[in-house]
Amino acid sequence: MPSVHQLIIGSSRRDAITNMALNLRDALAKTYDAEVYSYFAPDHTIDGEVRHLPEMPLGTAEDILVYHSSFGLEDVTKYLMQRPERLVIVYHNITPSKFYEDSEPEFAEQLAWGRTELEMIRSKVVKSFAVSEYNAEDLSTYGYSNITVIPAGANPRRLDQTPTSTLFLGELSQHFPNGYVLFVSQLLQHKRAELAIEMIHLLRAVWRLDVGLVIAGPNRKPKYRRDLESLRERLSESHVLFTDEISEQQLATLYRACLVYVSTSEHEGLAIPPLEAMANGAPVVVRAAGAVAETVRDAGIIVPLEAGVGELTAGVARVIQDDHLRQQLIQNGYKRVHEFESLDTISSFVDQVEELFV
Amino acid sequence: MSLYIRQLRNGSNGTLVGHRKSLSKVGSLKQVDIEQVLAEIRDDVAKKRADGLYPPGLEQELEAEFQTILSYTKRGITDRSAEIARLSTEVRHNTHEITGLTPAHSRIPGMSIIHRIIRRVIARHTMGLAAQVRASEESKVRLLEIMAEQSQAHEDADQRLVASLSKHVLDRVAVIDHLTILVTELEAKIRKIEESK
Repeated sequence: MPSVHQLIIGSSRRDAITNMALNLRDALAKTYDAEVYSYFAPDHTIDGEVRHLPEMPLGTAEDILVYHSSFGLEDVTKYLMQRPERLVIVYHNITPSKFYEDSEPEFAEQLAWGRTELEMIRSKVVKSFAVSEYNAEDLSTYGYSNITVIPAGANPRRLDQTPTSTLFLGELSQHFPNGYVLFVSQLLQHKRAELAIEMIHLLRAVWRLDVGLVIAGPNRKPKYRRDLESLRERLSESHVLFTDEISEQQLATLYRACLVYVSTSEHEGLAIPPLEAMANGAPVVVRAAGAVAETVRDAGIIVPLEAGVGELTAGVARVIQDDHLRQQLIQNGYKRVHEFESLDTISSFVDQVEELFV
Repeated sequence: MSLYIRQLRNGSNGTLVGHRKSLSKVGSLKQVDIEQVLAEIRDDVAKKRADGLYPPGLEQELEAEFQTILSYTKRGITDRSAEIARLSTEVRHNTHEITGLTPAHSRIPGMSIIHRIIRRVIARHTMGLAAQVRASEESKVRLLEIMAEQSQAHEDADQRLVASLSKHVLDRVAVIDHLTILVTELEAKIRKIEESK
C-alpha cells in the first residue's frame, strides 16, 4: 500500500492546521498508509493521534509526503530535501517576519526562512494546494503554478457535538453580568490583541456599554502576554479576562454565549476562528486582514484594515445594540458555514492526490 | 446577566442543536444591507469625533501607550522596581556570606590540619578585610533600596496620572451627556412657548 503521510511543524488539539491534517488523514487512511507527523513532539492534548517526526518511516519515490507549510525551520527544509517521496505542499501562509523583527528576531528569522524554503523545495513539489485565494496569490509569487485553492480539512462545525459547560457559563455570567466580547487566537503579536483591549476600553468609556472582553487562546509569547496585561492595567476601563489554554467545551461555551466575536488580526491565511464563531451562533466583527474578507464574506462586519480602533469599536457597539442586525449576522453566519461545508474539501483533496498515483 | 446567556441556559440540551432551535423562532428577517451598516458605523464615528468623545489623536495615543510598554519589554525593562528590589535582597544575602574564612577541608590526608592552621594564622587579616567589604556592600545595598523606592514611586505616579486622565475623559463624557439632556429640555420648553403663542 503506498503511503501519503503528512508533515506539520507543531501539533495541538487547538491548532487549526493539526485539525485539518487529522481530518485529511482519516480520509486518506481508507486508501493509503496515512499518518500525521509533527516536527515538534505532539503536546498532551493530541498525544497518540499525531506522531513525532523521528518515527516516520522512509518511503519510496512512489509515495507522497504532504507538507503543511506555515513556518520555517532549516532542519525541516533539509529533511524535506533528503526525502525520496514526492512532495505535495499545502500552503497555510507564513506570517511576514516584519511583525517580529524588533521584538523576537530569532522568530522573525524562522518566518523569513519559511519563505526561503518555499523557493528551495519548489522543484520537489508535484502538486500545490493553498487554503485560500489570498494564500494562492502569495504562493504564486514564489514561482508555484497550477495551485488548487481548497481549505482542505477545515471543519468549522467541529464543536457541534461538544456540550455547553453550565459551570463555565455560570462563571462567565458572574464575571460579565452584561455579557462579553470574544477574541479567540493564539497570543502572537500579529494578532494585535492590544487593539481588542483598546476597543473594550472605548466601548465602556465612550459607548457606555457595560461589557467585558474575553481573550481566549494559548499563551505563545509570554512577553507579549505580559505587555497586554500592562495595557489592561493602564487603561482603566478595560475589563478583560485572559483564559490562556482552555478545553474544547470551554471554547464552545465561549463562542455560544458571547455577544460578539471580534478579530483584530493583521495577517490571516484562512481565519478558522470566525468560521467556528459563526457555526456556534456568534455574530462576527473582523478586520479585513489577509484572507479574512474572503472567508467571512457578507456574514460579518468587516472593518477595513486601515480603519482605526474607533471604527472597530463602533462596529462592535452597533452589533451589541442593534438586535435586528445581530440576528441577521447570526443567520448569515450559519449560511456562510453551510456554503463553506458544501465544498467537501476533504473528498476534493483526496481525489487530487489519487490523480498523482494514476 | 446577558439575554444571550439566559437563552443558552434555558436551551434544551446544552449543545448547538438546542441553540439553533431557539434561533429558528426568530423567523425570517428583513435582509440587512451590510454596506449600509458600514456607512452608518462611519457616520457614528464621525459624530463621536465631532462631539469630542473621540478626541483628536485618541487612537494614536492608545497605540503610543502600547508602544511604550513594548519598548520597555524590548529593553528588558519589565518591572523595574521589583527587579531592583530583588537585586538588593540578593546583594544583602551575598554580603552576609562574606566572612573572610575559607573551608579547611581537604581530600589529601593531613592537609585539612595544615589548612586550619593557615586559616587561623591569617584570619586576623582576612576577617578584617571581609568586614571592610561588608561595610562597603552595605552602602550599595542601601543605594539599591533607595533606587527601588524611587522607581516604585515613579510607577505609582504614572498609574495615578493615567487614572486621572481616564477620569478626566469620563467626566467630559458625563458633562456632554448632561448638556444633551439640558438642550433637549430647552428645546421642549421653546416648542411649548412657541405653541402657546
